[in-house]
Amino acid sequence: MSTEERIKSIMADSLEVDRTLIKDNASIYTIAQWDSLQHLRLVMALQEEFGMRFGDREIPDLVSFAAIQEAITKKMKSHGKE
Amino acid sequence: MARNSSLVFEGRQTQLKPLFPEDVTQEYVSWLKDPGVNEFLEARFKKHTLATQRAYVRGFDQKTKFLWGIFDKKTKKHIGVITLYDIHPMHKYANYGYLIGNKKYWGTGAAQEAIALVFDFAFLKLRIRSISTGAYAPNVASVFNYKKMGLSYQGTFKERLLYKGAFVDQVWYGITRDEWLSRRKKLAF
Repeated sequence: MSTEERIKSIMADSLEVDRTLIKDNASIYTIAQWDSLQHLRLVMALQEEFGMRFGDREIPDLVSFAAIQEAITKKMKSHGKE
Repeated sequence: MARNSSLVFEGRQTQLKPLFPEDVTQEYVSWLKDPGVNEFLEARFKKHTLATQRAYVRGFDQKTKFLWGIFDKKTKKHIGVITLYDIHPMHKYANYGYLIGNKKYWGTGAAQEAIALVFDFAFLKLRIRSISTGAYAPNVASVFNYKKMGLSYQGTFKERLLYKGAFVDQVWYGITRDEWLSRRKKLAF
């Protein structure tokens, strides 16, 4: 499964929404159910799936699929996981 | 103090009512003592009783400094509080704060709806021009909520707040009236 698919799958599970709702433009502004508790659940699931940690300053910025993909790709590159 | 029905607001799941000293219950006091609730509140540095909390509530005149109880609209259960304060009569800015004391309501959207109701009141009735609020930097859930409501980052006070034995940054977020009116249309409240 591609990184994109893994992220979208985790987003759907953590936010408890249908996978089809996780489009490329998915964000806290397009998914009403995406609240602070689900956000923390999502971050923990992403950290576990990708074996990386997000700092306090990074976590609130992961507010869209694009932002999450960018952050994960960046960390993968810096850790030579790409 | 007379109860003013024009300060009662209703959303889909919550009702906001101005809170008065006689409305303070032991349950409300217990929220302030609960480490799960007060982790990022100044309340954790103080002792709380019915008397101290009634005195705190008395400090809100509901004219220049507002305190509402957040109630479950269906069950009428008191689940939290929200404030609007530091309202400047000339500059037209204000600050806000909130707490959902009943943990069963965490993650239900109750806080966001209550904030939206207060923002509507502040921006549309009081004609406030900007609202801001601060959070402990490690309080990522609050910062997330600010972003969800459309607030943007304003700045950081470095190492300003004591948290778990260390001094951590305080981050400030804010929103203008125009930004809120734009954001409001996209919220399902």
